[in-house]
Amino acid sequence: MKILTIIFVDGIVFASWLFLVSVGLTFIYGVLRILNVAHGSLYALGGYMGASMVLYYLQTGATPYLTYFVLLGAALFIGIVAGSLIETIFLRRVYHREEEVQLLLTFSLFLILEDVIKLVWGVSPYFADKPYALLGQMRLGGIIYAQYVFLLPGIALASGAIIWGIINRTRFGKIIISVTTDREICTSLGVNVPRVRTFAFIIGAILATLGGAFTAPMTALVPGIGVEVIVLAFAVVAIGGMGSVGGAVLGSLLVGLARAAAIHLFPELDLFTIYLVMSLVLLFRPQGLFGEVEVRRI
Amino acid sequence: MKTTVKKVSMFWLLIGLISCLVLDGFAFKVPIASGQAKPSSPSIPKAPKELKVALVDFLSGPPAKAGTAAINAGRILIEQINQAGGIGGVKIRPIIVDEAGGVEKQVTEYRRLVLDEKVDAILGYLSSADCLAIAPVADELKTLTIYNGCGTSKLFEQADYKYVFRAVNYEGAENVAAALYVLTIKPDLKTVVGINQDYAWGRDSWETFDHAIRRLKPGVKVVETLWPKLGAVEFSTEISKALAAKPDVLHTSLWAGFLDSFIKQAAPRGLFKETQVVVTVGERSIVTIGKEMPEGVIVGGRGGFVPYILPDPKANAEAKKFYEIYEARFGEIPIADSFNMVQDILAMKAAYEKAIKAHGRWPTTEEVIKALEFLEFDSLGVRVSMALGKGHQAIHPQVFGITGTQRHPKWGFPLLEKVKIFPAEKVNPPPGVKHLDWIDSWPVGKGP
Repeated sequence: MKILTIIFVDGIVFASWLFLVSVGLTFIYGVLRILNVAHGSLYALGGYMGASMVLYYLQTGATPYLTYFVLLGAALFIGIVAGSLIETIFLRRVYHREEEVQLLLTFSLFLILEDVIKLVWGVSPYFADKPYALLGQMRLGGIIYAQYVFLLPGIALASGAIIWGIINRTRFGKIIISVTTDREICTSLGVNVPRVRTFAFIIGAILATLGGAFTAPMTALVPGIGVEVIVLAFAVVAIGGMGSVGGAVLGSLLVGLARAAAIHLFPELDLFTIYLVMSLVLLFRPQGLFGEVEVRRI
Repeated sequence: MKTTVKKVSMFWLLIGLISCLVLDGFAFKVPIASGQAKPSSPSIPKAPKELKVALVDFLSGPPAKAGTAAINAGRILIEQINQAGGIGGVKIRPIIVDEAGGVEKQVTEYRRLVLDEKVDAILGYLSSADCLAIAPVADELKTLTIYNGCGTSKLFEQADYKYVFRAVNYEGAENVAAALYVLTIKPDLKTVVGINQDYAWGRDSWETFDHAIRRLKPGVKVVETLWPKLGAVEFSTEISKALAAKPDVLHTSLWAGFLDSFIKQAAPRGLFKETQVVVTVGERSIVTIGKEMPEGVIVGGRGGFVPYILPDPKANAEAKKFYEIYEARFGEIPIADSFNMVQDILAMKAAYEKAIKAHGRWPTTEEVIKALEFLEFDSLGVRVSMALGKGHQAIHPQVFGITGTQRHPKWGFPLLEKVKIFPAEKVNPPPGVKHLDWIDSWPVGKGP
């Protein structure tokens, strides 16, 4: 029973992290029909910006309990700036091009941003772990957990709920759905489609930077952290179905729980688990679990 | 249906691109050489105008800190050698190359360096996977290649190479020393957990430690072996598993940014208080994590080096000068990787000088190789002997210690206490014997 509790807790924590790093990717695909490889760089930018801002903030001697809001602010700032620049300067020019061209463009952006990060932050690791240790520890299933990790499911739930709310409960959400469904009719009805796309991309970018910023306190920020993330995020999105936020939830849960179970019960399968789940899903549903061919994808 | 097929095709295209990213890389070559030497006027017959030497290490990706420290050290030493007249009057021209990007890219890059750049020697490499893949190519292209950071024991224990050398200790020495040291700190240990990355370095490191600790302490039980993926920086589940197992000792060969993340995630969960953790190549993390590095962690350094202990600036004037120049120029201290690269360059220099002396003219590559086999030389006060692997694998002393409460007065990181410097012969097998066979030959319950 104790081991099941630990597997469940570890699985949920990892699934929350996976959801945070993959939901922006699937949202952008759902709205813009672009597979954004630069998502990994946005995640890294969020991490580095969050760490830098926290370190700067702590130097002022202010209360460390506000560092969580600093992380949030850093994620919003870099998400809005980087998201708007990428969409307006680059992506806007390729919406009408083949998907392969769009993919190569975002791949190029990923490579460029990796070097930009090295240029700005250098190659030495960045640590901003104060928020991680600040919340203390708790015992669960007989072992100690840093309470910070339980923020992740909360942030993941909030992010998912906000995305769901924007799409299903706001006028902007209805416009996004309309633009996704038929851009030309929306244009003829007076919808400013380029602006809607920019806003949608910025939302996706903020989700990526949010994932990076709230991961920063629990890791060493080093060059190349976006690579591992983008591979995992694509696996989750492929499992859940590209463009489906609900699919990202299910994909994250499946992968998170499967990996936790593997490490606790069959450690040799750690490396293999994620890709085993992905292979099994794609074998029977190549479009992913929630990836039905449908008009509405978000 | 057509839409679905297209999406699936796109997905596989994407997977292809990502594979390129992982295997071939987000690596960027730095094609040039800094500090290019002006052609000198060597007096030795048949001497070339310059000696083109490629220095290869990670300049991007998670190991970039380690690679940059190695390359920085290489630049300094080559400048010093050139200022002193070069090797036999021939100045060295370094060509700096990024090791990131995966095995296939590195093999291609190696061929380019030899065939297009026409380098005389290639030094470096941190990844064991790269070293294993490049060794046969080095022999094929007949190019002097001296590894340093890559630590896999398979390199010279499973094959013989003529043109390939490794001028620093390998994982065998590190993990034998780790097992010997941990028993001095935890003589009554009963249970062990291993967390090592799932590739050659991690697997080899665990195998050596596992053999050594079982031989030294019969009855020790390995309660878990965990294999995180190379590249992963999220270890919360592995940490849970280790905490649940409650071992007396946890062994890990995690390194650089991966180890930093592990320490940062494990420390608040009390792992370092509940278990005696041994990090075989943790000296980099002492420097990068600094004052937040937990106390009571057993730490070794890749290749055997730990700054300020080995090489010892108090015992050797050249080492002292090197520390001073490095710190003044880069605003940080050199780490083990720095000394690994220094040792590579000094090995090459010593071999060339020996061959020049023997032949009275500029030597051929084969003559340099002959000179380097079984060579003994000094590296900033550290005596190095190319004693293993038929003269191709170095042995030298190996440092281990435990992080204490005292801090470095200038840099703030915790100083090692109970430091033990293991003599080379204590942690390496005799020539011609594989290190696991050597460990298995120890009297049960006793060390070498």
